[in-house]
Amino acid sequence: MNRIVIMMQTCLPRLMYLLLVLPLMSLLPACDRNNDQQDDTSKDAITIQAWAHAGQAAERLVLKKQVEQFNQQTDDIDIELTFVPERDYNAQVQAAALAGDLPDILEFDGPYLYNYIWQQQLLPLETLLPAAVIDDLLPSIVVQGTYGQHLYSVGVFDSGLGLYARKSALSRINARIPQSAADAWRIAEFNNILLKLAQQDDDGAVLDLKLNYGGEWFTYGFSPVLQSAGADLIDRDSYQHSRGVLNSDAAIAALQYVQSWIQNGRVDPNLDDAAFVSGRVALSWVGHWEYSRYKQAWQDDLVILPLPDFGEGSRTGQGSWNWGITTRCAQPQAAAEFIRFLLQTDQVLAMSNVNGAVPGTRSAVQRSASYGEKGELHLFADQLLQGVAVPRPRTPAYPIITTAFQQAFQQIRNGANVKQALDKAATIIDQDIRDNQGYPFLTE
Amino acid sequence: MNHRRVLNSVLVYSLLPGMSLIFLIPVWMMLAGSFKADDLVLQHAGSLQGYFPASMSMQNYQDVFDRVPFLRYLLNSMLITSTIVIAGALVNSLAGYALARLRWPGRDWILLVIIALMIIPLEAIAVPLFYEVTLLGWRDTYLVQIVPFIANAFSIYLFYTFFLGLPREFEEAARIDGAGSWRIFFNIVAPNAKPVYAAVAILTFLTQWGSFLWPLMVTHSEEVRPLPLGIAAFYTLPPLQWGDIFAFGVMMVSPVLLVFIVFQRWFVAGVATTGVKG
Repeated sequence: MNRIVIMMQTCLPRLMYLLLVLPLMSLLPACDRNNDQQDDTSKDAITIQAWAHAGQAAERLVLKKQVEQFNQQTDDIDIELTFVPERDYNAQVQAAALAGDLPDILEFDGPYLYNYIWQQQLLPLETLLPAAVIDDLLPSIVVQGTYGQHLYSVGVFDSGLGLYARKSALSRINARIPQSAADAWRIAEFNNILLKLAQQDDDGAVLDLKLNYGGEWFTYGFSPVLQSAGADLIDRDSYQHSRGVLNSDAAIAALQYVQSWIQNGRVDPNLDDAAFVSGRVALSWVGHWEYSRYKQAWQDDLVILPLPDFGEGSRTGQGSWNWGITTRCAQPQAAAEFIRFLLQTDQVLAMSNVNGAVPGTRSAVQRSASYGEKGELHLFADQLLQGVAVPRPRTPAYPIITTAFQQAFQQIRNGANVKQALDKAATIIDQDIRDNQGYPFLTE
Repeated sequence: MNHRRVLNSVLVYSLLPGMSLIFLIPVWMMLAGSFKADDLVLQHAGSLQGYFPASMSMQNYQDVFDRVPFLRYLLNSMLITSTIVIAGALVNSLAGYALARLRWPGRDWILLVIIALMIIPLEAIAVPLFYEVTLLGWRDTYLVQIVPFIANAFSIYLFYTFFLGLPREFEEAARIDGAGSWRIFFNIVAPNAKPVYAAVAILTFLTQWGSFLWPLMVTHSEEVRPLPLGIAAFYTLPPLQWGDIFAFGVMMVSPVLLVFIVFQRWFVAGVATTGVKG
């Protein structure tokens, strides 16, 4: 009996403490949320949860301010914003979807959009947003957000891809400066420019392809090469096969050009991500996000050009983060109010001004100092407005398409046989589509 | 013989600094980079400049605090990790003791199961575990990051092997004096097992401090997220802010180094007695 008493005296208090503390700790965040909810209830407001990617610091700050402003303006709707790290964002969305715990409003990156729609996680927006708001969106954003006749996502901004160049370097070799995508350098002209620039360069490396990036960049940055040559990542009529498209003769020839630039030493490996700003190269193949750094380095000597034309006209990439309303949302009209607020011209410009991306609406583009008619970045907006930009393949298979293409591109840049690399990628993609019974469209 | 021993020592001691440099250089480079402007970090990376801070600017550290709630992440990591370490030490040592010293039906089978569990990685059970904690309503809490990791097959096995080697005489003497199993454990066995407690504590601390996959799956609020998820916020569209990432890394690694330095003596003793290899 004594033993039991001693044991109770010595051990049980410690165990009890442990058993009490653990559940209490778990309640800490819940308490915070309950308090918030009580505050909200006192206002009789609808609480809308929103997840956004934790992008650059300035982006976060603007979005936080926009949420505060919206919450102050509207008495009946309160937005609860959660920032989720950009890296592995999709993994967290998938985990929340599995647990039935998605927020009301979700921001997501282009590559996963169609997969989310296919998983029936998003609501169509055309009945929730006024027609005037949708009409004002850049056509590229509407095309990107549309799947199976419905608009599921809208973006506050879009992206731009092109060639940054130093005017002085081009004038030394008497290269003409294209004024628009229609006027882009043909591939033979581009190869000639590379050769001439290399002849005047110490090490012959005159082009930066941002080979230091990796990942989605390879698909975003170099699928326009395929499309410009008349090929593509997948057959866009049926979205059922890549074979014969991704590994077509046109695709092989186009990527052989890219491989030849690398093998001939024209491409700077750019390990320090400073090839262009340091003046080692005269051309940099990259998106809008490098503008401010490049402008700071080269001021008026900087010029932005369309990507070269591989035979079927210059093409470029598009797509960025989108907003959608999840099927879990009980108050989609209230959620749409917030998205509508974000798409107001002032709000679009506020975001575009800090992240440097192309404003997502026509009215904001017109008012933008950088992207408007006389802006230095107008080419990027023009490419999105004129249909030069090609959206990512609108299929739930996109994650596997981009992974397969990235692997193929890695092999090609390292000197592998282009045809074999593309054959393999096409096989992987087609197998995935077969495994998923062709990703049938949603039933209406 | 003596000549050969000296030669061996010279060889070993001339190799050791080189070997240690391989491990120290990345840490040093992270420290140096944390004081540099973002664009200089990669520019200097391939040269000797990479190993020396260009200036002693604390801007990157300031940026970390501006960009993420670092202190909140730090407190979360400390709370989660220390709770797992303390509760794990208690639970796993009790289990190890019961397996090593007490006689009860099914003991050998349980031991076999525990040994088998050691080879199953978290990744293999992450999805069923995820469903389990979702059903329990534990997502996005501290609880979900702590409870599944308190009991640990490897820790139990370490305690088990250590207790097997502990002389039985102490316990027998205590039993003759009238002490029960609980009292023997807390008053006799545990005080003599400090090295293995230290080894288990450090190994658990290191594993949990860097835990990424599980918190990623089960949390989304900044209020409960640990440090490894905090650093993920810096991986955005290029160009990456490498100075900020390095500054975050320095502040994340420092507590680990501190814990290791404090417990180093016991850790080495624990490694020696339990046969743990890194």
